[in-house]
Amino acid sequence: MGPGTWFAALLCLSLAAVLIFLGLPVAAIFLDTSPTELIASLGQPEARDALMLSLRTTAASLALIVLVGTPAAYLLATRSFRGKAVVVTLVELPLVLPPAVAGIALLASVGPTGLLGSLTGDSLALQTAGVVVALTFVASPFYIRQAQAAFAALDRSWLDAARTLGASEAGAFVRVAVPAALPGLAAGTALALGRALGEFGATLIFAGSFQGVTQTVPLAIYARFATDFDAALALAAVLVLISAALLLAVKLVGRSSTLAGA
Amino acid sequence: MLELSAQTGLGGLELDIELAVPAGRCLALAGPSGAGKTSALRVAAGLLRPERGHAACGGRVWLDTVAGVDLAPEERRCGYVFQDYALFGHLSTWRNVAFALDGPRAERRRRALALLERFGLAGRAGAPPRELSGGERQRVALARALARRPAALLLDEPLSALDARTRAAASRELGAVLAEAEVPALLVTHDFAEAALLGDEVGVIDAGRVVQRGSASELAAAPASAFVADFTGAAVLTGTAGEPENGLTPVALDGGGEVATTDAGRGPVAVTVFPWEVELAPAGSHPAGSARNRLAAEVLSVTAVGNRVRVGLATPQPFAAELTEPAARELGLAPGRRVEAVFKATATRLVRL
Repeated sequence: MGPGTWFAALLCLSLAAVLIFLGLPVAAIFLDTSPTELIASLGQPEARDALMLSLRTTAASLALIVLVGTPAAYLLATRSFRGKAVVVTLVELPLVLPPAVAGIALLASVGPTGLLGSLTGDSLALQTAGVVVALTFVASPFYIRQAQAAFAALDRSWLDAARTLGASEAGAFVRVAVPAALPGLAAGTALALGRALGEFGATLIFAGSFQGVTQTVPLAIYARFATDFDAALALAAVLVLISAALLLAVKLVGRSSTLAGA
Repeated sequence: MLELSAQTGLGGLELDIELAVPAGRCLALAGPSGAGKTSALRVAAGLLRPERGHAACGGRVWLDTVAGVDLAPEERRCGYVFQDYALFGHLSTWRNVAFALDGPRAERRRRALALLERFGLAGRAGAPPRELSGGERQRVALARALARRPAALLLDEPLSALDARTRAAASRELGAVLAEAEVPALLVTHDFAEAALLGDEVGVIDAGRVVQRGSASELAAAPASAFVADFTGAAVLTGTAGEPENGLTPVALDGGGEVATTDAGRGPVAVTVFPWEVELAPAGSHPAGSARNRLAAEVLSVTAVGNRVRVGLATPQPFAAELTEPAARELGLAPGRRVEAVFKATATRLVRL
């Protein structure tokens, strides 16, 4: 046996261990439910409500994140100013915050008795809008970080060239920076999407778990797994399929945009 | 007419320039990297705001820090060719050119294709920039800069990203474009030969200031400083000039040796001479001839430069000679060999230090 062979075998074994550890639980979700059971449990109104709510709130929060986060990330990537490091740290803080802490923090700030309680009243806590707020709070740093890196990696002379070719500052952003950074922005969207779709702790604490109003798919799974394990499994299977499909779609967007010039 | 003046600090460099370029002419600013060349272009284009400055083109004021005028880059109509061309990687070649154009898509496409055609790039219109060769990229950048019918052309090292073979052809084409352009052109380069080739006039820039301005041959023949002499390719020897005798000034060289020059001067000076004015002879030989100056030298390096050979010498000051390849072979030049550097007093220029 050559000196390099055992190392190659070690690498292969490590990858195999990773694949089994990560793949087996996901595969088990599908192996444990039959397709008929899956469809049957999706016929239940609770399951349908949870799915629709998850899709609606995730879409709303992603729209917010991309719309506000993209220009914010552009500013962080292209300008230097005093205290920028502090700002970047603040933006990234929710990444390391435990979700339960995020939920409490939202209650303390925009809950009925929170800092801004006199403004928000009951409009957010325990409401669908509150779910969107919770998802946005935990998911936006994933997008903004990635978008900032994508903008920072742009050749600055492209932005200068756009200006000398007649584009305003906003024009250079829309016509050059965003399209050129699109693969990075798509990757950031995928990360934020995954985080938002799976959000549990902050939503539970800030918005509660009311069917059709705040009970997203992860909350519905939690509510069901003790009493109706098959229904929980079916919901989990659907969540896996949706996440995988969205991840694939976002990756394709990133891929096709890099090929757009070809 | 493009007028530009700027005084501003640039992190360790004090940029202080004032220049004017008439329409249809090209001023080439030549200088080493870090001299402030690109900053001068950026001030003209509105990409860099100086502490104090004024810029005007075609009777329109672009920048006046006293009056508080500072037009945005998109309002100045500069055709800017960036050093690495800055072609948009996410857009095809024709879209890069069409970026600068206004109007309906079909019209922009037609005009972009017409411009590309003019630069011999019609067949590459649909290709992304990364599939173009260096020379093609340079022409796309030029076509794109001209697309807006600019009021002035600004070119940052337009040839430096090209390999030696492409550079000759690209420089001929660029020369033709500049000759045809009816607008003032400001070009910056670190290569004096490039500046001489492309500029109607050359300004040598050092440490943020234009130290001398004139035609390339004027600069080479009468450098105002040792820096300009060195930059134009002349070899420089420093020393102390003594009392002139029979119209010749003797210069005692630092480190030993003496040369005579027909220029007048006293005190600390630099003697400059072009390497192609310097002949090499075997050490100890006494060839007949009119050349006054003989310096014992040791060969440090022998480098082929095109069809010539540049010989690096220690006299002990660094010195250089250029010979033809057969002549170098005949002398058996190799590092360590002792030779005599011979040149006429009339071939030298004296610069006060």
